[in-house]
Amino acid sequence: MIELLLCLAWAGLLPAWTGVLLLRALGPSCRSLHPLTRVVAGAAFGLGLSSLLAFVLLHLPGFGPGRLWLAAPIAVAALYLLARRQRGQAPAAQPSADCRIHPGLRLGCGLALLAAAWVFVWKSQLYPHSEGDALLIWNLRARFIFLSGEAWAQAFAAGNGCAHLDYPLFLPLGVVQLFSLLGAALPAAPIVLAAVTSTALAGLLFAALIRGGKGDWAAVGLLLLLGTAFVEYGPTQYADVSLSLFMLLSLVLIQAADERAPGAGTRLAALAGAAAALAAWTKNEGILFLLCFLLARLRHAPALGVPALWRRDRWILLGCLPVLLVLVWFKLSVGSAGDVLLRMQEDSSWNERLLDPRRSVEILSAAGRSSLLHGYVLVPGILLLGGLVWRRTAGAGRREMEAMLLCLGLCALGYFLVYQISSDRLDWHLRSSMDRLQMQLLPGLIFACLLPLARRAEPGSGQ
Amino acid sequence: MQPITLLAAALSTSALIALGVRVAGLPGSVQPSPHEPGALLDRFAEVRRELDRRGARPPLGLVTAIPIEVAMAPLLETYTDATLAAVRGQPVDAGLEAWLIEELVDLVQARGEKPQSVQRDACAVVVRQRFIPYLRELQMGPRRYALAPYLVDGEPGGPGSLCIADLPPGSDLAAQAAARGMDLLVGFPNGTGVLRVR
Repeated sequence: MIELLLCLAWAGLLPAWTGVLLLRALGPSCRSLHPLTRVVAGAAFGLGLSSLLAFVLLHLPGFGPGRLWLAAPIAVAALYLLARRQRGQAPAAQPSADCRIHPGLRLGCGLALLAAAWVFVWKSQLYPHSEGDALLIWNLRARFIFLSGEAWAQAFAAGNGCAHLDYPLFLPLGVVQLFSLLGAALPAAPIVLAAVTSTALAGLLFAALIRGGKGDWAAVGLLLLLGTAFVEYGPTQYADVSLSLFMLLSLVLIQAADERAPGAGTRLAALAGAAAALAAWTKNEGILFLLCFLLARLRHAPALGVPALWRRDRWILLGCLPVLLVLVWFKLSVGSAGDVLLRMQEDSSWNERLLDPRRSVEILSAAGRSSLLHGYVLVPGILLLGGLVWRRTAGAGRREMEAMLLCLGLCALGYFLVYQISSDRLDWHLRSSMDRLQMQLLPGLIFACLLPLARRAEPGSGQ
Repeated sequence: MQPITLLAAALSTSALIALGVRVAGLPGSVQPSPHEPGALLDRFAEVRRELDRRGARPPLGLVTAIPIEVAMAPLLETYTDATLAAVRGQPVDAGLEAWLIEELVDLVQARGEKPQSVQRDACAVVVRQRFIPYLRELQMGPRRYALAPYLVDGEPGGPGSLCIADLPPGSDLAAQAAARGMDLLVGFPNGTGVLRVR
């Protein structure tokens, strides 16, 4: 129990504090987010920052993996000092923390949250050491780094037993921080981290849909998320939940930046860029997401013009930069080229596979099967809902929705193309990853479809 | 009620039902993990039956000869005295082999070859990819398993054996092992170990 509480403090409270301080330090526009969004987004940023800092600390003399528990307190201290400098600024208009929800929806959400918590506890008891890739890739890497001590970089040496040396380190270094706190590689560490990221993802989706003091659509969004296999992915300790968290966070923040007056949302845009880059620091699919995120911004070019788009979106690039620098440092120093890229270099027949219609059919039917098996049967309903909402939404709201759906659609297309050209056995590749890729995109899809509905509750929406 | 509201209500209700079905599908009590010996034994039997059904000849002889539990037990987090027993060469859990066999068969089939034709290579791959960090963990754990005598004293354990050595940094055992005709040498993170698979 002590281990769990310690881990919870380090993986939950300290990151949330770090992130809230970060948002405070960035000024009034960030402080004007809904209080729950601030806490949840803060926790995500806190985890991301301490993971990046941990990677930097690993390279400093005297900081082996055993002392990485210091990363989170150092991040808090640094941001506390930074936030203190902002004290003199005019306070931002604080949004109401009210959240009125229809009693039926409130009851449904309560039951769903209880059920989800039960599934988490049940599965964590059943697989305390996780399963599949979580055991053999993410937690294995964490163990290897932690147990190797000063020789941690050898964990990335070819032939030393770890596969996928190019996989980014958000999750392994998060786990290593907790291992170092506990002084041992105990299963409590990845379990708590999984609990925090799962809760943050569900909480962020809920918080981002609270508008005008009403939370009905937020409750619907939460129910839709919990009605899928998402509830089972959290306790598996896979990195996909963390990736999905950063993907959703970047969409939420860029939407918050867009709805502010020109020039008022620049820091939120920078944070959105940082969140998208943290997705890349979590999984290689996050790199694809980051590209799609930036490409989707071009959707606004016809309405705004390129110069105005650049003035607005350069802040996204600025936000990406620090995280991407660490990612590039990792990839060029201890990481290696991606497995998929390496295999493609060795196998020149990828262009034949790209044009093979049988593979396309197999991929699409696997997507359908996976939907049926993993609870994504709700997805057609969500898309239908999105279509109805799109028809009834106009102006900036419609453009925002289109940009978010375009980003997610480009991501899905990217996944499709990777399957199409992959030199791995296609049936194995589909069986081992299709469901998780769908899960990565689901929270963003729910957010994009429900946001225009939630905004109708805002004052002045005319609804 | 508007169509959107109706659809959202239907979706929310479906989601709640789907979650309820998911929870109801969970057994009332936590069953042994597939990593637990009992479940693994069952799985082992299943794998054998499946291999028989396919008419495949798995490298059972090879795998059985490898005291694979030495590596597998910590891999599966069974930090118990059973690990120590395995290290000493006592049988622990034949079921643990099942996982390895499954991996081997997957690897072999992925290459489009018959299982028996690539026994040694496949085994080497599995050992390299899965075990080394845990062997390292064995070395650094509270009970430091002294495995070196198996190899240093020239006792390789017979054909098809897996030998693990715990060596001081800078040891020249890698060279010694190579001189003895080792098939595979893999270094531990700090270069203190040698692993042999025949």
